[in-house]
Amino acid sequence: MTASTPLATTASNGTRPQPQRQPGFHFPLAKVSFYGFCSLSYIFLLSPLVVVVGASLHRGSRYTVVKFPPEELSLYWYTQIPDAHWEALTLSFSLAFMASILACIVGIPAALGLVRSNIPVKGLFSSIFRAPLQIPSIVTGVAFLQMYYLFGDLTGIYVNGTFAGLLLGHLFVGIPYVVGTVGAVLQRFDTRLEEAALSLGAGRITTFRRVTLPVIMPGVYAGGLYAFMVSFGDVPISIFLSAPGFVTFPVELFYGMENDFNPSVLASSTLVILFSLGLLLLMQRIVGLENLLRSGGGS
Amino acid sequence: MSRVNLERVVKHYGSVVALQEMDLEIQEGEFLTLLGPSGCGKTTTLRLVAGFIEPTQGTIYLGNDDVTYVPPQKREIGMVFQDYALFPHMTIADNIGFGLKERGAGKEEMRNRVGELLDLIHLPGVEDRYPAELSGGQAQRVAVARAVAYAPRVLLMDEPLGALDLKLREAMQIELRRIQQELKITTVYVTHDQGEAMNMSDRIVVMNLGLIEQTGNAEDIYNNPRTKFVADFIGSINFLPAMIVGDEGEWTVAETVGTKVKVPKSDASSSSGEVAIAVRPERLELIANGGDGINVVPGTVSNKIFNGNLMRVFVDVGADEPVVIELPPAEVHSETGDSVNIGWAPQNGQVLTE
Amino acid sequence: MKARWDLILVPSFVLSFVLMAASQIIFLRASFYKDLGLGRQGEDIIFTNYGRFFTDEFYLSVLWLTIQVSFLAMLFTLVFGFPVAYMIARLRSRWAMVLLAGIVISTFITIVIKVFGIYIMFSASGIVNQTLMGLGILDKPWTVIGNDAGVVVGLMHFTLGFGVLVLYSVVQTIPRSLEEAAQIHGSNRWRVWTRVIIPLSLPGVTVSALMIFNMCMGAFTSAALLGGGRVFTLPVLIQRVVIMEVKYSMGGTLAAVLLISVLLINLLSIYLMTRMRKQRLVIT
Repeated sequence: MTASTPLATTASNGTRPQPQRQPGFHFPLAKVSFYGFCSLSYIFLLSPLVVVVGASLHRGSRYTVVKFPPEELSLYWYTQIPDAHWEALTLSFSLAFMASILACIVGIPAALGLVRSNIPVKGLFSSIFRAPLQIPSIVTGVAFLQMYYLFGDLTGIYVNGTFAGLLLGHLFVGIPYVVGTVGAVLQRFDTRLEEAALSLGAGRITTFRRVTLPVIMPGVYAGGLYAFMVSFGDVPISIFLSAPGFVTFPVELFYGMENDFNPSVLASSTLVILFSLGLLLLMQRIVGLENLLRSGGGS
Repeated sequence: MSRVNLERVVKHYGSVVALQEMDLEIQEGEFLTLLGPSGCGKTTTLRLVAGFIEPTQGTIYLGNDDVTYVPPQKREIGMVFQDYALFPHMTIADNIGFGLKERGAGKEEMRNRVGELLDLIHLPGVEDRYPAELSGGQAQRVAVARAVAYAPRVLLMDEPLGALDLKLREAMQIELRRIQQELKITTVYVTHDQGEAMNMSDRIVVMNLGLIEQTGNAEDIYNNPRTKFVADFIGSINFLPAMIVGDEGEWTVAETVGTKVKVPKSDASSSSGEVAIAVRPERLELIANGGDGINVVPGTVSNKIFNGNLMRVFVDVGADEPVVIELPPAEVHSETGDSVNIGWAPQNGQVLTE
Repeated sequence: MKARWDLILVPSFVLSFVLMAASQIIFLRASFYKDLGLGRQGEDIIFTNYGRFFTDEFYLSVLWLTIQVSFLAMLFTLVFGFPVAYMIARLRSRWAMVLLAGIVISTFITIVIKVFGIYIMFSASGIVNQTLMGLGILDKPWTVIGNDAGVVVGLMHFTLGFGVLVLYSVVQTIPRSLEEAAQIHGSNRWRVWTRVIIPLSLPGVTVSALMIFNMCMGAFTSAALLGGGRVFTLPVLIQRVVIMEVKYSMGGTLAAVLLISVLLINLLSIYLMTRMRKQRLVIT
């Protein structure tokens, strides 16, 4: 290399060298490729949702209809959502709603008991509460179905294919989320707050309602939301516990895939996406995403 | 060892100005402390020198090299962090040898150097332990050893004693200063603790709201604070609200709480608005009546607090805040409610603007 | 009067315990019966179902395939998930929350809906094939539906979001100052990763990997839909055997095998976790 190459002239030669580059205008290759790589995951995760929403807005004749990006914007398919979808959506929603409420009713005392009591082998108790998360859902589905059959054989009451049967299965997987999130909040809870309230003359019930409950509320919301979403999206349990004509929305879609493809499913799916998005935004408003994740991180 | 030079350095975070035009030169082998409350820009300055952030404007020199956009690993700087930042998965020897290994040192060389450094920090024989087995003070000394292992050009310390308890902190101040002087290494130290700054530094830079308020050695800053902020931040001080009313030879005459007092002439002497007369509590006396050339302000004793080696007497002179006087307990004969005169020699007062 | 927290625990515990014990015992017991066809079962305890599972090449190949696709999906989830988790954990701005929300929303929406999107993208006239054929990379349409690759993609849709969230909490346990310390003492970005970030996150990543692997082993919906009825993993086979063939006992046997392998992996991860705690490799 000769002395006249640009590289050599940047070397210090007594006078102060100029800054090598202007701030704000540099994109190191490593950084760009790192962010580029990260965006792949987002494309992977979110593109199917974008495609579903986009394609649902495309109007075309029945069999050549699915187009993304949409060419002819229209809400046509939203008017074509069949009754079966609405029924399935209603069932899914009420099921998820009930399951999350019941999961809170069962899970909050469980979390309080696990964190506050000093029973021996606490670890064993808490792992039994956590167990439904460790059991693959498909196993839970099979197991519940057989349990319902046996119960039916013994009592004559067959709950498989009924709302109660589905609810019990969904509740089973929902409880651990509430126990986990509420338990996480309780671990950090400063019991002096309660002692302060008691010392100020509040009764036990009042103390629980005015002090304990508000503090654990973020955990309750987070656990309730997880329980709701898990129930709302579940296939492997519901597929065993539902009956023909009485299916949840994901199961309806699941079976629908094997049959004739009707673009109206894109419309109803879009509604579910928007609903989930709205629910998440609502939770973000109420407890904040950080609380949602922090209390749920361990589950 | 190198000097460090910041020329017209500005740092913005979005619309927030963390550092307004900063000019600062740190001499070779100097122990310089950046002192100020949180958010004053001291940590920003340190991180700019370290290279973790780039300035919005301005230039940073290390020796004669412009390092403004040089990444941290190429700056040959050592740094001690507030939380020690020792690598929990490495032994003490590996921690101290971290920088040496990055510079291609051999095994033998590393072992010898680590031994030397452990002697330097008076902690021999801990090579094979893990950071979790050390106490806070020990961990911080190891962090210092790691930072100076490869003879960096500059040593940076970011509130290194913040996590230690008071007693240990004082011992560590002496220890850090000793190590620094043994190595004669240029050191930039960041703290919000004025005592720490005064005990250790060759020079102190007092910062506030992204600006340098004053630079000087400990005595200079204590005796001649240039602003109310500096006077208040370093030690304790009384402020009396006053107006400049005249001139008398080498003195400026000001009127405070209805009394005329003399203060040394300064930049604030020409001020026409409200100023403050600042006097340190230990420079004030309780006197029977005004002697020659002594400033005297009458007041009433509102409280007394016995503090072991001294008594703090609070005197209400009609200002918003009572004046605090520190005296040897034996010299205090007044009781709460007594009318007294407080006095001080004119050269012990100062007139300051905001 | 002290509050009796142990009494408060009782009703919830009884419910959870009964549901779990009853369902598991009943199906495990049934797995030892003989299928008599049409959903009827024999009453003698026999081991033929298990015998068949471990001697029949078909069942063994299903188990092996399940392990293979689960392993691949876990590997890719880590490779793609860790950088994202790291990026979010190290962002200082509000973007971190927006990016997290993106992950959360994708995990919240049922996989069935996502599969519609994947179908559309990979259809012959879909955006992926059109682009790839337009660029000359492919000469005929390719799809992920109905092959092993598709199942891996499906499993990743199930695990990637969860993986990012778990790995995010792993990265959060590594103080940023450790990276800065490495940097200032002479490590470039690459060395910071190899000497600090990777060794420090390894224990957490190992445990996350096992969790993800577990999820994949038990994943039904994504594997069933992306497998398109042509690829059988253990959960897909279970559903088929129970619903289509109405063989409850054999279904129970398959479910038991799945359950036991999953539990073994769980025990392994608990064991690893405690060992790492002992070695102080996990910062808690």
